[in-house]
Amino acid sequence: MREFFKKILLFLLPILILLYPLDYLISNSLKKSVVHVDGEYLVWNDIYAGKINADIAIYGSSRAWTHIDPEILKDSLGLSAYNFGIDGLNFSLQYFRHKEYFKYNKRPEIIIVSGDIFTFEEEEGFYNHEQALPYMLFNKDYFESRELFKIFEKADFFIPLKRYLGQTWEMARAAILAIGLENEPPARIKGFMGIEREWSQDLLQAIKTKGNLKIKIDYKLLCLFMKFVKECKENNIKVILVYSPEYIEGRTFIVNREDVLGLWYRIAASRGLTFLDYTEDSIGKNRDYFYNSTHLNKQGSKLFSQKFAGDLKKLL
Amino acid sequence: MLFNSFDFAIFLPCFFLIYWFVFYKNLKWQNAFIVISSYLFYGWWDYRFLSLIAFSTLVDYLDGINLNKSDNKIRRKILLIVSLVVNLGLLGFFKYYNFFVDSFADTFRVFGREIGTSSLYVILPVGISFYTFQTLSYTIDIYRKKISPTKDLISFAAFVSFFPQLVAGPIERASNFLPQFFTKRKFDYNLAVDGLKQMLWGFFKKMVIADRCAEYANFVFNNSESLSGGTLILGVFFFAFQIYGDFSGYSDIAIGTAKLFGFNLKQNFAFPYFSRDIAEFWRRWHISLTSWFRDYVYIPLGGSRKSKIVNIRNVIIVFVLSGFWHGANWTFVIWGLLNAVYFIPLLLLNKNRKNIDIVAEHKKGISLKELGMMIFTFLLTLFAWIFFRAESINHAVQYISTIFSETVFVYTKIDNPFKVITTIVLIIIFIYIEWIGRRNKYAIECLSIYKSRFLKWMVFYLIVIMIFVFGGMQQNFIYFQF
Repeated sequence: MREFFKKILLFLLPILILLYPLDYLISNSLKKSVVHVDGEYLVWNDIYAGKINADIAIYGSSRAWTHIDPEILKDSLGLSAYNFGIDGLNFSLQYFRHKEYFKYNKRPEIIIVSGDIFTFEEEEGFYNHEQALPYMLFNKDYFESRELFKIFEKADFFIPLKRYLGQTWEMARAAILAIGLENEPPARIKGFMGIEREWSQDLLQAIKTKGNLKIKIDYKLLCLFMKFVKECKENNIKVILVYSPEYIEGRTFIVNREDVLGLWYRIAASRGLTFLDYTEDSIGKNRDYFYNSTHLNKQGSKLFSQKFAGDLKKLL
Repeated sequence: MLFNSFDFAIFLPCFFLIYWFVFYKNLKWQNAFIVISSYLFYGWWDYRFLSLIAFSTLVDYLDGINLNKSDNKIRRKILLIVSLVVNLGLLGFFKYYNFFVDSFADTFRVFGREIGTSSLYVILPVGISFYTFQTLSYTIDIYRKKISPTKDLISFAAFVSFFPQLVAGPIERASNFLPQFFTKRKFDYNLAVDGLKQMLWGFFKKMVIADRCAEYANFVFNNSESLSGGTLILGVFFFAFQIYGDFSGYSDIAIGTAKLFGFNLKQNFAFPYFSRDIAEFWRRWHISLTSWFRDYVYIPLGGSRKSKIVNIRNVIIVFVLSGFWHGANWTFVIWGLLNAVYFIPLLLLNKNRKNIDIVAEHKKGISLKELGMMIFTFLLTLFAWIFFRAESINHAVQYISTIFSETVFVYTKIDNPFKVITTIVLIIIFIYIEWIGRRNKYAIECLSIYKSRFLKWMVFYLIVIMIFVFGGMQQNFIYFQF
C-alpha cells in the first residue's frame, strides 16, 4: 500500500506543482486577446485596471455594444463615454458588469441603458462563457455571483486549471497569444464595435424556423433592474433608457413584442426616467443600415449614434 | 454521481481510504460500507429511487432463500415467477408504461378509433435495466440450481448495488461476482495499478472521444433535415465513436475502480469495431448483456439445438429483446431486428462462429480480405446506429433517404473545419492505439510489456494532457438512460 501511495504521489506531484503556474500563464495570455470573444476581454481588462473615467456609461447587450459609439457621443456632447454592452446576455450579467465597474472605477454621471426585447428574458446558458475564464479563479465576486455562471462548477472557482479542462481552443488561443501571433487591431474602442458585415438572413431564418417567438419575462430580472435604477438615483446618477432601431421585417416574429416594448415605457413612467424610443425611426425601414434584423451595421450605427447624440444634447 | 465529475473525484479517494484503512480487518463492515457508499453514490442522482434498489434486493434475497428451501416444483416455479413479475414489473412500469399506452392508442388510431390514454410522467430510474437483470440472473440461477443462495443480506445488497457497476454495468452474474464478497480482500498493488490504468483509458475514451463526438453527433441528428447526405454520414460516424467511447469508457472506469478494491468484473467490450462479421461484433460488444440474453433467453428457447427455423426465430427474439432493453421506442426494436437480419445469413451458412479469434492475432499486419470484412461490418453497424440514435422511425427514414440522395458527396459546415478535423484526427489516433492493444483486455494494458517506467509514465502523462486539452464538454453517459 505504501508503495502504491508513493507512486501515486510521485505521479501526481508534477501535475499539482504545475497547476497554478499553468493557470496563471493561460489566463494572463488569454486576457491579452483584443479580438477573442468579441473583444470582451478588452472591457473586462479596462474594468479591472480601474482606468475607466467616463462621464457616460452605456449598458445593454449586443445592441448597445454595436449601436452606440462613445466617440460620437464625446464629439457631440463633450462628455467622455464608455460602452459596456455585453454580447448575448440579459440584464443579470449586465448588472454584474455594472457592479464590477463601480467597484474598481470612478462612477459616471449618466448611465444609458440600451433596451431590447431580450433584456429581461430568462437565460438558459451563458453565451461567450469564455470571457469569465481568466478572471474567475479565487475571485470572490465571481464566486458569490456563481448563479450567473451556471456553466461552471463550484470547484472551477477554486481549483486552478479545472475550468480550462476541454477548452481546447482557449488554450490554443492562449498559446498563440503567448508567442505573439495575434496581430489584429482591437475589436472594440471604448467598448464599442462598429460591425462591417453584409446583410444576412441568418437571424431572420432562425426566428422563422423557431416559429413565432414569445418572450418570457423573468420578473426577478425586472426587480433587479428596478433595484439598479434605485441605486443609481441614490448615487445621483441619471439613468436614460433608449431603444435603438430594429429592422422592420424582423419585428413580426416576436408575438409579444408590443408587450415587451410597453414594459420599457412602463418602467420609464413609473421611475420617472427618460425613454428614447427609435423603433419607428426611419433607420429601421432601410435594410442598408443593418447586418441582420436586430443589429445595425457600421454605417447604421454611425447614423444612429449621431441622431441619438443630437437628442441627448437637447436633454442634458 | 458521474464518474467524470468533481464529486466523484472527492468520493473515490475518501471511499478508498475508509475501505482499506478503517474497515480493512472486517469483511462484514467492508461490505456494509460498500452498500452505504453505493447508496450514497446512487442517491446523489435521485435518492427517491434507492427504495427501488432496496426493494428489488430484498425480494430476490428472500426469493433466493425460499427457492433453496423448497423442493416442490410448483412452489419453486411460483417463487421464480414472483421474482420475474416484481423485477420485470418495475422495469416495465418505469421504462415501458408510456410506450405501451401510446402504442396501444396509436394502434386504435390506425383503425380510425380515438381512445383516451393516460400517459404518466414517469422518470426512468438510472441503471434500472442493469441491476434488474443482475438480480434476475441470481434468482434464475438458484432456480436452475446452478448456485446456492446467500443468507448474508449485506453481502447480497453489496452485490446488487456495488457502485462502480450499478448504473451502467457490466451486468455481473452471481456465480462470478457474489463469491468475491465472501473472500477476504487484500490490497493487491498490481491489481490496483492495473485498475488505475484502465480507469485512465476509460476517461480518455469518454472525455476525449465520446464527449467530442457527441457535440457533432447531437448537432447532426438534431438538424438532419437541413444537412446534406455527406454530413449525415459524418454524423453517424461520430455517433458510432460516441457510443463506443462512452459505453466502453464507462465499463473501463467501472472495471478499473472495482480493481482498486480487490474486485474483478467481467470484460464488457473487446474491440468490437475490429470485428470481421456481425456475429463477432456481438461477441465483442456489451458482452455482459449479450451473454445474459444467450443464457437466459436464447438457450432456454432451444438455442441452436433445434431446427434452423427455430434457431432463426430464437435469434430474432433475442435481438429484438436486446433492442427493446435499450429503450421504449420502436427505433430500438428496428435496430435489434436489423442486427438479426445481419446475423441470420451467417447462421444459415454456418459461419456465425467462424471468427472467434482476434483479428491478425499473431501477425503484424492485416490481410486485405480481413480489412475489407472489418470495414464492411463497421458499415453495417453504422447503418444500424442510425435507428439507434434517431428520435423516431420517421426520423431514421428521413436520415437514410438524405444519405442516399444527390447530396451524398456534399458537406454542410457543422463547425469550424479545423475543430472537426481535430476530432477526426483524435479518432484515428484512438483507433490506432486500440489496434495496437487489441490483444489485451483494454488498449493500454499492452504497455505492461515495457520495463521502462519512464516510457510508461510519459504515455500516462500524455493521456492526462490529452484529456485536459481535448476533453469535450461534459455529457451524461448514454447508457444511463437505459
